[in-house]
Formats: sequence, C-alpha cells, structure tokens
Amino acid sequence: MKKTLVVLMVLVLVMALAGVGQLATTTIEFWTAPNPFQEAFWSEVVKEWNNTHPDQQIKWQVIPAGNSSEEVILTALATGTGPDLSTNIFTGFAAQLIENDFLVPFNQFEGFEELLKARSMANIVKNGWGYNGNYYVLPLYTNPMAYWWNKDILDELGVDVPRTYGDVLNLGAMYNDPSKQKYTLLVRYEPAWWDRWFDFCLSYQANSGGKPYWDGERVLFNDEHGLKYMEFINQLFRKKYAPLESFQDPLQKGIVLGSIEGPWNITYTQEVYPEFNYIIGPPLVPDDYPLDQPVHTFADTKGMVMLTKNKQKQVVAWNFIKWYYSDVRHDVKWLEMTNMLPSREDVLARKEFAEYLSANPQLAEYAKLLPYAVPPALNSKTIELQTKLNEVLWEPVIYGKKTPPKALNDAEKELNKIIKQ
Amino acid sequence: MKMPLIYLVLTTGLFLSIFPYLWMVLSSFKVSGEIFTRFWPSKLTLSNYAFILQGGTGQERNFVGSIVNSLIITIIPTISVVFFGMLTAYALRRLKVRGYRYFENIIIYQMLFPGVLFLIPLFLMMRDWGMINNYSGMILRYLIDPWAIFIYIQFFKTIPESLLEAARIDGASEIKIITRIMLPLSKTTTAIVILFTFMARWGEFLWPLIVNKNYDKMPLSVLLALFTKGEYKTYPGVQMAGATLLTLPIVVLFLVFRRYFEEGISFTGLKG
Amino acid sequence: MRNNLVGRKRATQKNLVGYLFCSPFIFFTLVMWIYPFLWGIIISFKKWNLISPRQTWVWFNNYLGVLKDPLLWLMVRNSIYFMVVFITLTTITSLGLALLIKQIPKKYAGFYITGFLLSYVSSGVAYSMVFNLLFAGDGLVNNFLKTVGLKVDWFINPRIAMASIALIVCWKFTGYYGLFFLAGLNNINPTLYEAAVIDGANAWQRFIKITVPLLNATFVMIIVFATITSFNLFTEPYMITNGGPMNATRTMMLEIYHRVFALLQAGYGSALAVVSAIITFAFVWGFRKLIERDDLYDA
Repeated sequence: MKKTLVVLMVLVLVMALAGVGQLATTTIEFWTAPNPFQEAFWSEVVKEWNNTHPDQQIKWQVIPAGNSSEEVILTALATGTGPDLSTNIFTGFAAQLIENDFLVPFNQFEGFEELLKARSMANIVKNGWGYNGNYYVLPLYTNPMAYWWNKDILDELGVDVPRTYGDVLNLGAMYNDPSKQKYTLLVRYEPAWWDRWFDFCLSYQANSGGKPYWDGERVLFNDEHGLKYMEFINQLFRKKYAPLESFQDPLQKGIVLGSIEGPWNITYTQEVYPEFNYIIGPPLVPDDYPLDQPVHTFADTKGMVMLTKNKQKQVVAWNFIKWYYSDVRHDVKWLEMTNMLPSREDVLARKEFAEYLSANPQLAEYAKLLPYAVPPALNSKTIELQTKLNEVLWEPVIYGKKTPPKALNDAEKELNKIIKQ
Repeated sequence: MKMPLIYLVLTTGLFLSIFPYLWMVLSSFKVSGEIFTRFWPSKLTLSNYAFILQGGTGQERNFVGSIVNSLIITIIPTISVVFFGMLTAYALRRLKVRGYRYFENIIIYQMLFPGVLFLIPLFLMMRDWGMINNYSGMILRYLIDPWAIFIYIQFFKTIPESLLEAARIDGASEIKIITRIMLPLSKTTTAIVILFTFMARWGEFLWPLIVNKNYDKMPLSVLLALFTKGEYKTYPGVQMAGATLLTLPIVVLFLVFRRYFEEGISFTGLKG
Repeated sequence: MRNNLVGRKRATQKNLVGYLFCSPFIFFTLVMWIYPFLWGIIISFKKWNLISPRQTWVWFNNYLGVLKDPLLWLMVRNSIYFMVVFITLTTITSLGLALLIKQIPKKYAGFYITGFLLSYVSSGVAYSMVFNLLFAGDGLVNNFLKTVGLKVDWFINPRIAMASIALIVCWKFTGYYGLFFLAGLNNINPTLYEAAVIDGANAWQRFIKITVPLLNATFVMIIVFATITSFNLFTEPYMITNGGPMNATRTMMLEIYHRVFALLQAGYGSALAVVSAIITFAFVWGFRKLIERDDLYDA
C-alpha cells in the first residue's frame, strides 16, 4: 500500500513537472571550455540558474574539443548543430565567426552599457573587444602568462631569477647537462597552432612594449623584436638548453629550470607536486631591454558569445548573461574554482578578490601582471596564420633548418599571402 | 634451425608482441607516480577506473554511456552486414541473376576504392539529411559492406548446386534455403565477417569524430581520444584504464572466434 | 518442350527473386557510392566554405593549388617513407613468424598464432595512446635503452618520427600477415622441396627459388594493402604527433581533415582527396605491374 502511494506521488510529481515544462520553457544550448575546473564551475552555475528559472532552461555541455575548440565549434555550426551560447572564444575566432555572420552583437540589447559598468569591464570591452563598432564578445577571464622558475635549484646555484635572454644562456652554460636530464628552459616544440601564443606571440609583445605582432592588414613581427627572440630560441636549441623530447611535467620534476605557464597550473601543481617550490616572474626580455621599463606579457583571454538567431532564445541567453555578469559572487566563485582571473578592472582593488589573492600568493603574482597583459592580435585568420607560422618559422628554427632572419622573412611573406587572400 | 632455438625466438617475439598490452593493463592499476618509473606496481589501485567510470570531474564524460554507444554503432552494422552480405552473395553467385558478373566487378571496385573520396560528400549528405549528432549518421554508411558480399561469394562458390536443387525440389523457398542451408554451412565465413566488422566498427575513429559532436552519443574510441588529447593529458593512469576498456571487448570476441579466424583466413582475403 | 518452358519460367523467377535480394545492395551502391562520388568530384571544382549558400565554380584552381603546394609532395614523401619501412619490417617479422611456426607441431602453433594475433585486434586509438606513453622521453622504452647508453626520440625527431609510426603499425600487423604467409606456405606442395633437395639445393636456394616465388600472391596482397594503409594513415599521427614534427608525419588524410573541418575549405579538401585517390591507385597499379606473376609452377 505504502509502495503504491509512493509510486503514485512520484507519478503525480513527474507529470506536474512535465506540465510546467510544457507551459513555456525555452531551452538554450550552452557550451563551455573543456577544462576540468571550468567544467566544475559551470556545472554549479548552470544548476543554480536552472533551479531558479524553470521557464528558461539551459542545456549545458563541454565543448568536445580534440584538436581545438575552434575546430569543433566551426564544424558544429557548419552542420547546424552549434550552441546558442558559448564560452572559450578568443578575439580572432570571434572575428572569423562574425565574418561568417554567426554572432549576435550584444550592444543591441537593453542594459548593455549598465552591464559593462556593473561588472566593471567597460574599458576592457571597449578597448579590444569591439568589431566594426559592435560588441560581440563579453570577456570572461584574462590570464596573463608568466614564467615559472624552480626556486630550490636556483637557490642551490646561487642565481637570481633570470630576467634576460643572456641570463638564461649564462645559467645554461653553468647548469645544463642533457645526459643527466638537466635542461635550462622548456620551450614547446609541439606543432599546435595555439602553442605559438605562449612563446612567439608572448615574446614579441614583451620585447616590443606590448605591440601587436600582426593586424588585419599585414604581418608586423619581422623586426628586431621578433629577431632577438628567434635568435634566443635558436641558441637554446643549438646548445640543447631546451629539451627536444617529451616529458610529463618536466618543470615540476626538476628536468627544466623554467617554463611559461598559465595560472591554471597552480592548482594542479599544488595537488600533484606539493613539495615543488617555484618563483613566478614576468617574460624574459633581450639583454638591452631597459631595466626601468615594465615588461608586457600575453593575455590568454576568452569570452562568451551568442550564436542563436532565434529571438526567444536570444532573450533567455541575454537574461542569463546579465544574471551571470552582474553578480560579483559569480566572479569570486570563478576565481576560487578555476584560479583564473576574471576580466574586470577591479580585480586588484575589490576586497572580495583581494582576500582570495592574499591567500594565494602565486595567483597574486599573476594579478600583478594584469595591467601589462595584452590580448592576442586581432585577425580573423588567426588559426591559419599560426598554423603557417609554426610551419615556416617555429619548427625550421627549432630543428636548425633555417637561420632566424631567413625564417622570419619567409614567415612574413607566407603569412602576408594568407592575410591578403 | 634447432627446435629449442625456434621456441626461444617465438617466445621472445610473443613477449614483445603482448608487452604493450601487459604494460597497458598494469599501468591502469598503478598510481600515477609509478607509471613511468616501475614496471610492476608496488601497490594496485582502482582509482583510475573509478575516475573514468565516474566521468572525471563528475559531469559530462559518460564513459559507461559511451560503451553503450559503441555497442549500438557496432552491433547494428554487424548484423546488417552479415544479412545483406549473405543475401546479395546468394543472389549473385547462386541465383546468378542476369549480369551478375558486372555486379561482382562493381563489388571488387568498391573494395579497392579509397574511402577518402567519400568522406566529404558523405558528411554533407548526413548533414542535409539531419543525421548529424545521432546514431543513424554514424551507422548508415556501414550497413552494407562489399567486402562481406565478396567473401560470401567466394564461399558460396564452393557449395555444390545439387544440394540446393534437392531443397528446391522439396519446395523450399529461396529465403528458406538461405536460412536453413547456407547459413549453417557458412559458419566460418560468418564468424569472420562478424569478427572483422565488429572490430572495424568498434575501433572506428574518424567517421564518428566527424559526424557526431554530442557527448551523449559519442562512442568510446572518440571520447577516449578527445579526453586524452584534450584536458586530461596529464593523467596517464586514467588514459591506460580507458585504453584497456577499449581493447577488452575485441580481445574477448577474438578469443571466442579465434578458431574460425585461423580457418577462414586462407580463403577470405584481406581486410583492413 | 515442356521441360524447356518450365526451365525458362524458373529462370525468370530466379531472376526476379535475385533482383529482389540484390535491390538493397543496388540501392546502397547508388546512394552511398555513386552519388557521393560524383558530388565529391563536383565540390572539388568549387570554392565553398560549407556554410554559406554561395558556391563558386573555380574549375581547376583547387587542383592547381594542391599541386603547387610543396606540402603535397612532402606528404607523398612521408607516405612513401612509411610504406618502405612498414613493408620491409612487416615482411621480415611476419614471414619470419610464419616460417618458424611452420616448423613446430600443430598443437603448439595455435597457441603462438593466437598470441601474435592479439595485437591485431587492438584499435588505433588505444594502441596509439599506449605507444605514445611507452615511447615518451622518460617512458619505459627510453628508460630501458638508457641502461645500455642509448636514447631514441621516437616521435620527436623529424627524421624517424614516421618510421616510429611504421614500427607501431608493424606491431599491429605482424601476427595477421604472418597468418597469411602461413596459409601461403601450407599451400606449397612439399614435393617441390623434396625434388630440390635431391637436386642439391641448400636451404637458402630453396627459400629464394621456391618459397618466395610461390608466395607471390601473398606478397602482392600485403603490398597492396600496405600501400593503401600508408596513404590513408590518420588515427596514429592524429593521436600521437598531430602531423609534426616539421610535418614529418603529416599525411594526406590529416591534411584533408584539417582543410575541411578546421578551415572549412571544402573545395580544396575535395580536390586533395581526388589527388590522393589517384596517387594511391597509381602506386597500387605500379606495384602490381612490378611484382604480380600469374604463371608460376602449379602449387
């Protein structure tokens, strides 16, 4: 009897829920970045939204990225199975999507300006996320990239944290010994196009005081800034100061002394290598870089875009965006769960963030770089350009097939061809 | 060569041949620190399997579901390939329909044709038919396999016509002849067709990668590849647990069918 | 007379039933082969990004682009490199395996065959993952080699990356091809060897003069298959090297995938697919011309 009652009650409940569902539910499809921490974060946020907005539901999934999220989103759009709302979009990819008429500008919605102010991101958005006078992307986070150095070994050697290319080469001369798996600097040789953000693009921005390495019209990197870095890379590999083999976590295991890392690695390192001591520093610069000048770095920064053309869904998506961006609790939670810095102007000023940062000194080091963090140069063909960059500049220098000046000249020529197409 | 030496070489080769499997299975039970440093684990852990079966961080990676998906997109084509393979081969080779030689030539061309030519247009067809992100998109192109028809033809050639004539005189329909006579006779061939089709579909990677981006429908091979190449690069133990899960079913199937495999290989021809 | 009529009626009926049985296959061939085949050719003459309704005819422009791109010849070279290493290695291992197994008693042979075949059933994704870790810089294989003072950058050195991939594919196929060679060996009439022994031929001569020629069909089969494999290589480089280092493992399949699904260049990708198919055919045809022999001693 009791059993029947329970079953009946469940049935009634299910039917009631289904009834509510049928009333006027609009469901939008929402994709987020394939990263374990972000995944956990969005899972909670979406749950909260869905519980409080029964008529505006979000169907959430992680972008099924294999090679890259961009590739997956493009094919999904080509097959009409794309999301209505997506995160993990960088400026260049947004431009590509805009050119194919996939994105919806946010400034056409009511409350856009207020939202920018509420999240304290008006300047960030207006200087760098615009496209032909419209705003299609709202940035979520800004991760300045930084060098990590193995503190214990540097102390043992009695050396300061390297500042310039010369410092690293000197360090290599005294420490490096490949036969004992002792390398100086990790430089990624993998041919993935986005890897070049974190070495070549980053270093060009550092050397040039934050200038873009190309724009919508042509390549700009073939100058002394680009050359100094590529000469450095050439030296590193010719002298075997950088390993040309794959290791699992070489920095944490003491196989290399330094490496470029994002803040997302802090948590992982804490969990897996709790003993590992490291110092976080700004990008390396050429020897003649003035000491009193700040050093710029590359900002890995991604945002949210709206893709649905359906008016009803647009309303839901916009409501969700307003709800998400205007509430500082979300950014605090984001910071805590992902260890990535929200794209806000008040990260360093606001006390909710300050508390967390003072408890997490490593992340605070990253936050200090925020004023000098430059987003990727804007070009709608970024993926194609960086694939080519890899082929004609990066790999030939790493494997010693071309001299840096020749590689830079070739790269300028080939990349300009792609831009002009 | 001396006998002991032969056994020594063979056993060494066999060890090398199964060593990657051995290492894979052992690693899937190791704690991550020991995967690169030790061959035998100092202690066994199930945490890698727990991680993978609970879906990593607990949200989207439904590995159990993906095993079911793999089974769906494997078993349906396997049954269909056997059925249509037999049916077509019977019509061509035993009934000898008019122009059967042309058909047989077409089949041989189909077997030799590089699949790369069809990749893009088939993808576009699936898109236009609304079959992206569902099982039909992953299954449809594999429902009939010219190779299976071909090897059934090879086998049916060997069956004496008198056997069929006798059945026809007894009034058996053609369908009955297929199910009552041909099927039992072609056990070995059918086992081979099942085994190879199952293997090919179970391990299929490129096609489901292209036509499905939905986690709920993703087969194990694709889910595992995305998982390994993407965000979980740094979990070798978990990767090996996944690889073990991906390998296990075909190894079992192979062990069950191995007798037919060796018997059938001599006349069935090659299959990638 | 009557018999003849019945016969004809039977024949018509047989044809009817036969076509009924064949119709799924005929339908399938039309829809899944001929139609996409023609469509693929048509796309290769167009410029189209898969999304926009605008498709422009560019005729041979895509083909010119493909043929002018130095990457094409690099990819062909990569495939040939793979083919040479793979065919050589696999022939040695699998023929060796077959010759050895032929000499041991049948009851033990089954055990070894089964063992060697296990590697064949593993799927591309799984074994790529395993070998990627085994061959890593600090992986088990290098740790072992280090004890004898060696170190190999399997997938990182552009000179040997493709050979490393050929090596792991060879691992997969040794047992399988071995089985074919074994079947071939079993088909050779033992009296041929006996006659040769009487004529005073030594083991090596018997191998070269009898075994190798009589295994011709097996060789042809394996070489044709290896050729197709090398031009269609996708999963292993996708999983392990992504086409790198220095494009040393870039294959036409990878490039087609990248062009179509990452850059949305459907026309260019289709043209490359056509070119790739033609190259594959050319190689298969060439190999068959070169090595296929019909008229040997009756085995």
